[in-house]
Amino acid sequence: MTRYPAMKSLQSSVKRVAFFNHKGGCGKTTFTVHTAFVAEEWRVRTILACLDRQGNSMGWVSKGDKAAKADAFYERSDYLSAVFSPLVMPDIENVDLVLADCPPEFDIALTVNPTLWVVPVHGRQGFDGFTNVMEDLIRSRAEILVVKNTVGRGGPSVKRNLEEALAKLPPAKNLTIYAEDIPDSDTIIRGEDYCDAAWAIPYGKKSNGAAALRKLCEHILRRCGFAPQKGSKV
Amino acid sequence: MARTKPPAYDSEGFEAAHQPRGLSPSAKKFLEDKGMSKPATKTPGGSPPRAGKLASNTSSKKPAATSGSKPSRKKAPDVKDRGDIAGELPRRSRKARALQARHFRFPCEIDAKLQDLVEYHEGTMVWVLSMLVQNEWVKTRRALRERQPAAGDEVSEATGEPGPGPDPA
Repeated sequence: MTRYPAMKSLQSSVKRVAFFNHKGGCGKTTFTVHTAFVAEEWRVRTILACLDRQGNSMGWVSKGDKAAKADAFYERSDYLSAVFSPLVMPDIENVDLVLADCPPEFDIALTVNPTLWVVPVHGRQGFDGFTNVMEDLIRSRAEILVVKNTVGRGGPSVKRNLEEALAKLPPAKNLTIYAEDIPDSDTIIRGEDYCDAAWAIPYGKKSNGAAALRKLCEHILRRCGFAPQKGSKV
Repeated sequence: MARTKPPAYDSEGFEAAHQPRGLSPSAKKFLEDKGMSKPATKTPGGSPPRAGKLASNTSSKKPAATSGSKPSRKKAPDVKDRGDIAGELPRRSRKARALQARHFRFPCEIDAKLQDLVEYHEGTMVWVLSMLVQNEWVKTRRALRERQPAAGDEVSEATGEPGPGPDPA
């Protein structure tokens, strides 16, 4: 039996993006939540599926709403809802986009069957977390976008080593390295504290980190074929 | 500018953190009400305990078999949903096949993995098991066939006659 039979069709009209790295703490939840915020602004009907038992993306999107904690779902607006589905990708239809915040567990991430993998990497272990499963991701035939996250943390040597390692990766048609870095940013951390987008918190708009993160989220959405709708706040 | 404050930390934790894997009933209902999920005609992702599911499947089939009526076939996923993957599914002939029924019980962890495969392939347990057995059978036959010509060569060298070809079966 092949491991990637594409039984659930990749050609489904619902775009699925899986945020995954085999290592925890690389930025999966941060990227998922911020992409969801931009999708909401762009009026893309989006479901954020929190597959990680930690439920952090649920808490972030719902601003710690108590009902959301109990019900395990949260309707933020007409365009963005979040559902908590630990370890299992729910079957979702009639939306434009599903963003899956995966736990660092490959077998679970595979069930998402995404059109795009977004893989945040930082440092040696984050890179290892990607290369551990790189072959499998490449064979899944979905697009892979590797993003250097929290660049600057650990000093220039960590940055240099990661860049050198990424440059040596074997070429694959469906593997892309995002050209820009997402810098180590206090604003992004504060966004988590505010349970809001980094650019929406006080002084967030002036932050380079928030701007870079927003640009990445827009890139992800455009890559999935979305563009801002009329009347959206862009 | 009025400076907003972040929400206060609370120590109540995430209530749903201990829920079984998959959507909670309320989340499932929410998605169904919004038309974002199919009403549960097939087994939903990991809500009920697996052992119970297996037990209920077998117990519901037994009376049908003993009553002599046509056994009720487990409902396959919608044909419409399968339209785009039809090419990848194994062909099913319209002819009635000879079926061999047995009763197996798997260890819980194997059963859980089987259930995962069923959900992933959107098929049935029988379909998944058949596929696995078929693939393993093909692999084994191939290995045997690769081994056999070498043995045949040895025989033909010894007797001076052409050795028997690979097993046509």
